[in-house]
Amino acid sequence: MISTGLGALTVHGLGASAELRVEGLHAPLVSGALRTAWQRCGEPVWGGVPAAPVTVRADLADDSTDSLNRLLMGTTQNVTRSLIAARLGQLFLFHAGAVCRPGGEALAFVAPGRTGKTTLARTLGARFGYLTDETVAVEFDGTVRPYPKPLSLRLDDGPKWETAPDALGLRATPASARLVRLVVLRRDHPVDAVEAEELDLLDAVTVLAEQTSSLGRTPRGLQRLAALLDRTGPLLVMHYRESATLAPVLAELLEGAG
Amino acid sequence: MRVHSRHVADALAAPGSPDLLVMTDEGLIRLGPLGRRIFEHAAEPKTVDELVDEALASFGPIPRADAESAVDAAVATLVEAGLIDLLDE
Repeated sequence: MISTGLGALTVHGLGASAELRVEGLHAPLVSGALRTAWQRCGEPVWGGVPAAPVTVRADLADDSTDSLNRLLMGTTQNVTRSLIAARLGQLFLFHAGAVCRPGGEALAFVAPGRTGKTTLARTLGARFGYLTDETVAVEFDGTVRPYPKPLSLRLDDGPKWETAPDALGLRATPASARLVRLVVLRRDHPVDAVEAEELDLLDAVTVLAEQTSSLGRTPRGLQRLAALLDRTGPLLVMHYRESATLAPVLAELLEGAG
Repeated sequence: MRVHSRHVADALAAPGSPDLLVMTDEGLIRLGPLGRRIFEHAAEPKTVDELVDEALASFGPIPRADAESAVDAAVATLVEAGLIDLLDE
């Protein structure tokens, strides 16, 4: 086993910090790839609460790009799990992407996996500050703790790749932001159009609870979620089919919010 | 038969809605109007007959047999959800 000089790499996000420990035959190669992909999460201002270290076993089956990328994607999942685990019950953790205006006013789009969050984060992040594409951490007072992780994207018809936000030209991530609008995405529109449906409070809380990590462990979570919705305005469910059609609608919503 | 609501740490009502959201260890449960009335009314131990009386007072003139049937079903649902306990038969 080789333990590399990656020990200095600590990932910060969601208001937590996790050390990455790379071990194995291909440690130098993997360390370099991780440093590039996670560059934007190197700012301690986005961290704080100590999270469990993430050990990366850098023993690749071969030298192929696929083999490396599978490891990088698995590492992303492990980092996210570690950071989430460190913050459970301390704030809201929505399965969501988020972007913000220059003043920090943030829009979070809540959705299950594989429903277009990353594509939207990439599109909107070219115009607004990139906060995250996967998990949005929101303090009870509405403060957003950024997690500007790499985006898992398919580039040039190749396999998915853990891509640094800077490599995609995504706008700068602020030290913190304030949630001003919360929407839920439903990729169920029969045609290429967008329809917004406003939910009443109990329906909104029910929908959000399904997309929130361990709301039951959050003291007075229901009351606090209701208070958050009171600040951000009613929850909108956006029924859509194509991200390209939805993105300008969300951009307009963010420009007019808060 | 007497029943008694369990304590829940977190519940949410909303203006204009007769429903109640309750957070339990197993997850979020939404109670409709009758379930909510029973859950709230059984904060102190109550007999099912008392719950039926309360339901009739709350939901208007319906046949008592219908109210008994509805309350029995709602109590069974609440017991299964872990929101109320049966104290005795």
